[in-house]
Amino acid sequence: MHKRRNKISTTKATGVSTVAALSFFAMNTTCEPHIIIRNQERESISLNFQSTPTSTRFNNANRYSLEKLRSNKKILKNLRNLKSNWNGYGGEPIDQAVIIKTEELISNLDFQPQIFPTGRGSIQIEYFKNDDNLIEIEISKDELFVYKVEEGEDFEGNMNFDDISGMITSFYA
Amino acid sequence: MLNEEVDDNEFLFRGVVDKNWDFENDRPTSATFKDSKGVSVDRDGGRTEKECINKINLVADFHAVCKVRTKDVRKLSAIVLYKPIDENKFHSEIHDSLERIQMRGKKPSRIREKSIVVFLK
Repeated sequence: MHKRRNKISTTKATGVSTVAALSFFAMNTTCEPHIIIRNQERESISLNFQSTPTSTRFNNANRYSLEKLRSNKKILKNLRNLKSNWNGYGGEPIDQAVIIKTEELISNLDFQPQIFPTGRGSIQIEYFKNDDNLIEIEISKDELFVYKVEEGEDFEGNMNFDDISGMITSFYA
Repeated sequence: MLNEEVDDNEFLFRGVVDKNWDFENDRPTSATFKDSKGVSVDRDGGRTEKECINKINLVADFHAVCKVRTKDVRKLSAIVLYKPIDENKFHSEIHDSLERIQMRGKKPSRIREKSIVVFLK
């Protein structure tokens, strides 16, 4: 369930001695104003709810973008439709199990990658800063194969789901 | 008649479909160079760049065409094999090694890094 970002503005409705104390409590998706009125006067309040949340973590706007996750899920959905020879070189269709595995992986990542199909029926997810700092993870039915370059030092080998999540988070730390 | 051995200075051409194009960084993804049967490329075989591009663009609706020098592929210890087929006498393949066909990890990534985009839709 998505948390919503609420924009709150107050406008003074009447004159001199208006004092309104406002407190808000938010639980899950709702945010309800609690208004204490003094001197029988009140301020008018407007709450603007954004229908499309952009992030569930507010400490870093680039972190865990729901918009990017949604976009990546759409890309994965489209990969289901790849036919044989989709790349002009006899490219293989992507197995449904690989798509599900990829979706599970990206749903648990703090930072969303770019997603590409390979000609051998696997899916590659990528993070690229520059040629000396990049991560490429090839997801097939049997394994997650990682190639990582950080400050020019490279590593390649199999990794498990949990280690990948930590590696990507530290890549952007 | 082309030499059986692809010359170190020959370029190898590869078409890239839009699904293998990294639009954020304006380059092909290394996934382009991951194939179970070896990575198909066209050796230049003494042709001009334009002739190579035109021939490749007859095969499919490519978003881009890139080229990489044979020498750069061999420096990574990958193998370039000349494998002509009926419909393409320039057809060649890049293999991981003499023992293994499929490349993964470093080799496809470095080939992508060395590749030059010569046609972009």
